[in-house]
Amino acid sequence: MGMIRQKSARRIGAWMGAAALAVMTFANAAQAADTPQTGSDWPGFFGDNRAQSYSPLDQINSKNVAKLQVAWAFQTGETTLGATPIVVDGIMYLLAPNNHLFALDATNGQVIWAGKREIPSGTLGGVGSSTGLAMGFGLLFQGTRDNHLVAVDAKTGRDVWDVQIEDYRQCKCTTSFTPIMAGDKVVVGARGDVAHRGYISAYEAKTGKLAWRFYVIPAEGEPGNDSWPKDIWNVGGGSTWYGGSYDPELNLVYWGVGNPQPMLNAASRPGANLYTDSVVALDAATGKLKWFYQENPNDSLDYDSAPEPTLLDIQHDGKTEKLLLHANKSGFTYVLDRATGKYVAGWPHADKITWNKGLDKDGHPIDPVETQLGVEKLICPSLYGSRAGNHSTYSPKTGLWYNTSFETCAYTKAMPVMQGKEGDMIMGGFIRPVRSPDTKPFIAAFDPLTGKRKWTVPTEVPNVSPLTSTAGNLVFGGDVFGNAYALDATDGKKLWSFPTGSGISASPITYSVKGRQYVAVPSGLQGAPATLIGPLWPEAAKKVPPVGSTLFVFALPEKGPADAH
Amino acid sequence: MRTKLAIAALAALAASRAVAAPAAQEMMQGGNVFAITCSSSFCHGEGGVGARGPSLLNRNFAPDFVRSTVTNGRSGTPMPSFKDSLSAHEIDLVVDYVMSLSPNNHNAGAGPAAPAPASAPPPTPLNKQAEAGRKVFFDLARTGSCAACHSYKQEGGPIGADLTGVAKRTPHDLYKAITKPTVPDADYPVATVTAGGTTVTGIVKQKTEKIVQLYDLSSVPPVLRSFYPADGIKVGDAAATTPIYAHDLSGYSKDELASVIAFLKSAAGPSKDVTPQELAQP
Repeated sequence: MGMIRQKSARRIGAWMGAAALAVMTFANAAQAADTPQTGSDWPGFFGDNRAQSYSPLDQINSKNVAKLQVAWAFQTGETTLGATPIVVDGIMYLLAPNNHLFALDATNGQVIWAGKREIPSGTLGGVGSSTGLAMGFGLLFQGTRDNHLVAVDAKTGRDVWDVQIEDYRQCKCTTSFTPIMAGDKVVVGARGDVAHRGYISAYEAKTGKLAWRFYVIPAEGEPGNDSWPKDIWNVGGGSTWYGGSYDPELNLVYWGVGNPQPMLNAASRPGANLYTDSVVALDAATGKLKWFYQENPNDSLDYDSAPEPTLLDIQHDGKTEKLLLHANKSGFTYVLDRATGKYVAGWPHADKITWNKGLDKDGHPIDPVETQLGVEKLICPSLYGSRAGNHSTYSPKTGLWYNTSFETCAYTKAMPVMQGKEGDMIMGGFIRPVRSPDTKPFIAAFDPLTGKRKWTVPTEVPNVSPLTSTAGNLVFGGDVFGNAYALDATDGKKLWSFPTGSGISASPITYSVKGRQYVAVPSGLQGAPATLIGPLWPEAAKKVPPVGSTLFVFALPEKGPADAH
Repeated sequence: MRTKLAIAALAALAASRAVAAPAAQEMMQGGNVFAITCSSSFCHGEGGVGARGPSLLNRNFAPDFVRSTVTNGRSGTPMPSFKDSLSAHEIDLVVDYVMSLSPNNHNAGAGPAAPAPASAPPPTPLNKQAEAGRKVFFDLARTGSCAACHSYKQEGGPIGADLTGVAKRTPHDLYKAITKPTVPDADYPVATVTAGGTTVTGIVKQKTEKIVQLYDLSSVPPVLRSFYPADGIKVGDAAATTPIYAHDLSGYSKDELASVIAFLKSAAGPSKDVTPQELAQP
């Protein structure tokens, strides 16, 4: 496929054998000790700091997963559940909607403590907030609906520190889906698809002091500011709404940056609009830009680069190749050298892509389509993305990357832009989403370096849940009909499913306490992509159950006396 | 009600809401058109709860107002006209759907196009200098930004005084308050807490037998830190001369401070330029 540089393709070919044996390495054991890692725990939104959403646990595996049964369930009392819980040392922490935070015994769901922060009026409408937690130094870090970052004592649930990131009434923004840990700092993005100058902030984990803030749009006098018109850069968007990753060895924080504003009218902001639609690598100590890779210069189609930057370490000739894999809403996946930001490979992860003629040797789009003032064009994927805030997973065990594709398109046009002030929503256009005329949504397993598919499983409607893989040769997910499921990681075959009674849009996780492995699945549909199901798949939507808010936790049957009953 | 409507499309397709008329089928279609057109993740939110645009729940709009807004847009706001994008039937469906978001609507009977004030009348625009001052006031990228501690018309930080009421003071007086804030200030008592070997000095938010909360101003934005007497902390009063209230103005020019003053003074009426000379003269 012409997407990959010839040289890379050869190099990649040589790696193939090694990829299957890939192992994660941390050269610096001392740093690794401070860095949350999956194992028996699930310490962060994406598992560990590599954003692989992978667990090395294998007690539950492709041979026995069919025997999974409910160990316990927990009802939050709220009305959706878009949160991914974390588990550390046998305690589960769950951030339910409305700033409702629970600490639960991870073996039985008993409440250890619960807290609920007051929510002032006028905060963002609930979607996407209250989703992720980070943990370090005995503290839980929570972004709040009203745009504070809060540290809570994990043992007691008591507040330790609380800092207002920016007044939500001013910026019409809130915190990213999740904060992440980066050594002694907690890093958080700013979510709000509005006229705003996006940023990524790091706070000292112990004290809450702002360590640095990186603005994703360079100021006047800084390199890259000339990629913007004079009066727009400071409200040019670049929402950093999802979550990042961290490499302790390079001491770099990676984060995906969202689209520029006004969203659908690129002609109103001539220039590349740096660093929107880019992956940025920041020095974790200072917040200084180490490198960036822009996927869609002067974007007019809302092709965010916000999805997770996944860190892959691939062994090759006794050397560890440190790569970063990144999916864009545009339907393309990019592989970069994560030390330098150099482009290694790029390939489509979606079937229906009409907005360009592929990528050139540097990964730049060839002949990208732009929106036109007042003229509708059918463009695929739609601005809902080939995928969005439903993360992928990479299994070092299979060497495969698992991802979903929504396969929607949209009649898209630009509209005249009204000059706005900070916090205003300026779409600069209009869309009418439709189903892809000739392709179907799917989940697939990809070779991360070539994009070659190992398997593809069509789904009746878009799978909006994130995916999680395990060393048990499994990929867990959930569908909008409420079924939690496990797929065989090698061939995509469905090995287990359980009807939770409400659609699933948050990430399954897995953890182990006292030698017993559990799988937790949040049930309670939320998020923008789910809103497409009703209008675009009306016949399937009839099967979508009402919205609930329950966490289901599964385990294999316990051996011993219990069996005798 | 709000909670039931958390997801427009699903609520609509589940058709579980009690809606007398129009028929459930039409309401579902209306919910679908709304989900695709109005809610997306960018504007009125799932179920009209409000995302970047205003919430539409329980707004008690008159139907004609909704119809004209959807058809023609609302000038001066980001709300566009949909007359070219939606058919007349689709607009009908959306209007019915939006009306259904206010189940106890006393304006629901047809009636004239009663304007439902969507927001306060737009404030008098600031002049160039005051607008520049507004940006400086709220610019959190700058060390010591005013809004990190202070609010203006309720927007900004909760720590210092709200500055909406200072507009009548002279430019010189305000300049003095910025460059040499009153120390000490009885309204903002300072305390120190020693806990776990470190001492924090800050402005007291609350001090009870159970909890002591201080705004730690040693970094910007200030951090609200909580301490618990039960943990064996030591609480003391800080010296009255503590420099804690001092404003770090090292990154600000005199012109910028003049612009902030022009902005603060604009709360009392149309904005007027403030000259550097006025700052110097009582």
